[in-house]
Amino acid sequence: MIVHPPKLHRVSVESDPAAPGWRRLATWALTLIAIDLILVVITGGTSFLTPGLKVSPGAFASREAALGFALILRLRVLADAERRLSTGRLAIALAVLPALFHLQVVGRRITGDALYYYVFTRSMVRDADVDFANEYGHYGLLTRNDHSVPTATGHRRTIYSVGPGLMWTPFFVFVDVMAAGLGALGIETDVSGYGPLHLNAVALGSFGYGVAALFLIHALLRRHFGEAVSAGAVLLLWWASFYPWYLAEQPLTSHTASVFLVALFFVLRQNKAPESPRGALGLGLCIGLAMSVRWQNGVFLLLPAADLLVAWRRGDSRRRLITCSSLFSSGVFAGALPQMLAWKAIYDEYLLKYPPQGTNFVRLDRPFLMNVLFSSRHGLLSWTPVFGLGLLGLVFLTWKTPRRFGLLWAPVIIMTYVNACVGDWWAGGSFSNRRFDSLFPIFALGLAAFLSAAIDLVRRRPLTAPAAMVMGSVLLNAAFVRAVQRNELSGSQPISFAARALGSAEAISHDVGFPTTWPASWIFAFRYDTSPAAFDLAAGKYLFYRQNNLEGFVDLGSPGDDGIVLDGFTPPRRGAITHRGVVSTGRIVVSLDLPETLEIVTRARARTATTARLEVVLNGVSVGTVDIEPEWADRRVEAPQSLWKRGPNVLALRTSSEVDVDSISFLRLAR
Amino acid sequence: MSPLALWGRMVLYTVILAGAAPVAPSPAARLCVLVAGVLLADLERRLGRLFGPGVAFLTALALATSNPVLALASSDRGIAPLVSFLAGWIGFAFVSGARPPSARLARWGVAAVSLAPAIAEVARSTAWRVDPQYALVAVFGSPNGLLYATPLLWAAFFGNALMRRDHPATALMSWTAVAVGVLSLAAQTDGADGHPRVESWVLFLGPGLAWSLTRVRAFAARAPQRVVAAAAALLVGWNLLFMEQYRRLLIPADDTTSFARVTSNSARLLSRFAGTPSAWPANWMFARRFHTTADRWDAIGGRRLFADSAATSATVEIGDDETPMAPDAPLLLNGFGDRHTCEQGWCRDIDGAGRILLPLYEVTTQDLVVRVRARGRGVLRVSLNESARATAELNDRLADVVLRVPAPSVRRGINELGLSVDGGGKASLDRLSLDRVTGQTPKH
Repeated sequence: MIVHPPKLHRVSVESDPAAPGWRRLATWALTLIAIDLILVVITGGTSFLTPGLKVSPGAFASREAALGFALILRLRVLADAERRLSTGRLAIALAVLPALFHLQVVGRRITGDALYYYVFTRSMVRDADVDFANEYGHYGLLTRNDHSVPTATGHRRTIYSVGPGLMWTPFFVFVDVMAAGLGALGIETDVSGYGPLHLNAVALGSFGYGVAALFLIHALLRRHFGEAVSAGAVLLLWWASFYPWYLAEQPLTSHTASVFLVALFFVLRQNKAPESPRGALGLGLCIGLAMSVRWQNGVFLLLPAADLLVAWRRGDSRRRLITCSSLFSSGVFAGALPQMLAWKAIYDEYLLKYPPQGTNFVRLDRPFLMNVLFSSRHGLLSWTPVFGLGLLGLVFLTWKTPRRFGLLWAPVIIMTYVNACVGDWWAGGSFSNRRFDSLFPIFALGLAAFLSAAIDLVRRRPLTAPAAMVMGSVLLNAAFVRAVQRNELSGSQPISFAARALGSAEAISHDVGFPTTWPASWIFAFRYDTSPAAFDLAAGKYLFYRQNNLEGFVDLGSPGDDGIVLDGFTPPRRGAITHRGVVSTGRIVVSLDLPETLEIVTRARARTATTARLEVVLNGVSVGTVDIEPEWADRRVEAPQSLWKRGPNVLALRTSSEVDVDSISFLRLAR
Repeated sequence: MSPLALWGRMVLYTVILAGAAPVAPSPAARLCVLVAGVLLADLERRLGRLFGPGVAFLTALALATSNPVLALASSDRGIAPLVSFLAGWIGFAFVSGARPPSARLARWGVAAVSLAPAIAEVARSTAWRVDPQYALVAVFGSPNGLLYATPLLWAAFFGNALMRRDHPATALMSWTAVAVGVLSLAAQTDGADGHPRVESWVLFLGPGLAWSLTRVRAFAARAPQRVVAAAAALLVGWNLLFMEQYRRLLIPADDTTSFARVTSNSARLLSRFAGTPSAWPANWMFARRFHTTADRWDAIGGRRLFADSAATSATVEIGDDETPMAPDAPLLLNGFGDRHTCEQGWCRDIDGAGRILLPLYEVTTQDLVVRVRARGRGVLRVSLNESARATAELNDRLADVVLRVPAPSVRRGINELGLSVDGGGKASLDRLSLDRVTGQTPKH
């Protein structure tokens, strides 16, 4: 590992008698601009610097530029040498500015899960309870199936955790105070708790947790990798992962608070907090609260448990160990208590026997490991390959110092497995797989190790850099040539960059699979005897399971059917009825969550005047043969449960002479 | 380089070029592959003496996989490109040999080699002209522009310009060959196949590229963290573009998608926002000239609506194709709405005013008749380059609005067709037909 000492700019402020004056001025400027920016974000555009004018995106960017300048001036140029902000921290601080711009200008507030987390905050502050009837009523959710019927305690259901809402309460209360102040000045504001002031403040608070988490992770890494690499790893993990999305685009989710608490937990643990009673209590409280934010954070209890075991075997004072463990446990209990109280209030149970989403939500015997990591439906590594680099770096770290870092694999493996077992392993609407957020500090450690190794490699073998450039060029041209060879692109007609990229990427995907889906796409191709490109659209597309499924209907010839068709079909034939033809054998792939008996209805016609024979083959076993007439007609065969497999199934249509196939329906038998 | 290594390289480059060949290559293409493979191995040997074996190999590999060299294997232009390539190699070998000629002779020699293909093509052609626009397309145009297709060759250009201090003689020769070669691209003939004529001087990009790669290697040794940071920046860029397309719902929020589509969307966003990087700065100039976004350059820069000067008709489909592959969609500038069905085809609406670019390089003495097939309400006004004008009342059936443009009013290059609907009317446009005619104005 390379540890670079922090470089300090030599500015002789110490010897300049005027420096304190400048410093004071810079402090004032920094404070004023920061407060103004906070005001602009909360109010959605009101500034005390330009009262009466709504702050435009350009004006917001100008304020941010001024803030950045003031930051550099105050904390670098004019600061005492020993209190000067390090380059890494400064870089992270400056990188916050574009994220804040995103939060202000395009970031959303109440979308998706945000509403369900936010109702906790409002209900707890306004009503001092967790009865969401009024909040759901406000958002028009009371008529929804899952909210229309009260629970045994008369409350309304929620499947969400209490932690994020709890952590946002200070910002909600702050706006209440602010609104009261404005009210005293005769300025009317929306104090309902549903208005933009409260939402913006809570979004800014959530953003703040996210930013604090980044600085904590940087502090965690600095101990092992030095300033520059640590900052580089933090910045790369931040901007090349789903973090910007949940920091600024959808700030009202649990993710930033979760990363903040887990990062704090890691820093406290690294700073030997568990060895003092107060530290142990704090660490327990931190992880307990993290469990209230995202229940799966309980996995991290393994680490202090292992620490305790090590200390016990090392022969540390038994009395101290027992004291610290008891305090740690108390802290965990206190931190997790809000969740238990919320469950008690809503479901009349302190601890639920199974997740509120239902018994079938986590199925530990049915992991979708390849999909959760590599699928095009929010696969962690396929969408955000930076995590792959983090895992690679974690391997390096474990290889070098297994005692220190080997244990980190436990939460990685457990959380990956659990996420793969969740019913909607793709995490619903999600940019990449957001459910891995709690592993952020561990991925950061791995990524820093990877960057160190990469820097070391380039230093030792500098030819790597030009070689990478040349390989990029080779790939660019090879992909284009393949696209032309496959007739996806013309070799001489001008085309848009998007078209060139599409043709080239399709050629790569067809030949070797899209790189971020390796090796899952190879395994898929090998297993189903098809191109690795088929993995992209097929893995994660179900016939019946959960949202956005095919509803048992495959419409051949329609846009998007290329995710179902493996091979053997003609290109779509347009007309009154769009369809595809099969000359000898056409194969499609359809996925099931659970095998069940299905009736397969093929709507087809013979291309010739005579009747054609069509054999329906499921996973290599014939399930029936039907006659296909020259007119469009439905033909049915029944495929018993025993022939179906969990996950992808290959259905082949074998014909004696060419037939046109309009659609294939899969009908569930009455259960 | 040992004889065994040389043989190995010959095989490698031949295999690479053979991979780029069509399924059933012509005998000429096979010969091109074989000879080019041998010559590239020789280039590597020669560069190895100046820049070391590692960089020489990378340079030869980059050139072997560059668009102009791959085009040797994939084009069906007979052996003409091979002759050019061979001539270039002879010139290169001549000036980089053990006993190089005098600087003046060498300079004239390589200039002649670079210029020869253009002269040969002009001599063969019935119609030719010189215009800097052609050079711009040949260098920055899609899909085969020298730097558009192989942006790494920027390093060769920079290298040739900057290596003067380290290798003065080589720099002068290479710079001369490349400069003359680029200038010769401004000469354009009818029936050119879309591949720029660079075979005769592409080898002269080798020294510059090798020099640049050497500098990159030195920089990497000096500041490895910056190299890693640059690679990391690419990852960040990919992620930001991915995030933006997810935000704009260009891919499903909760469903499977193809990563080829993701790549295409990212390319579209990048190209729309900043122009295709490998087409800089030509696309910026284009955007400025036509008051549009820089991404249009890619599909319009080298486009010719009429196949050649003998062609008499061309068509622009307004709404038929919605895919990124749609050849005509980029021609529509501002003012057009989403596509929708109309009668038997697909149309787009104009609310107020719209513009369509018409790339017409093969200008003849014939008049141009533009037929706009449209329906709607109000009066549709059509103009070309804000001079020739026609108006017609629209009704609810598709009909042609005809604009006859006298030959002198048609600009060589990109023309701008203006469309506007008066008085709050609305027009749905199906297609444009362009015909070259002599005689009477055709009726509606």
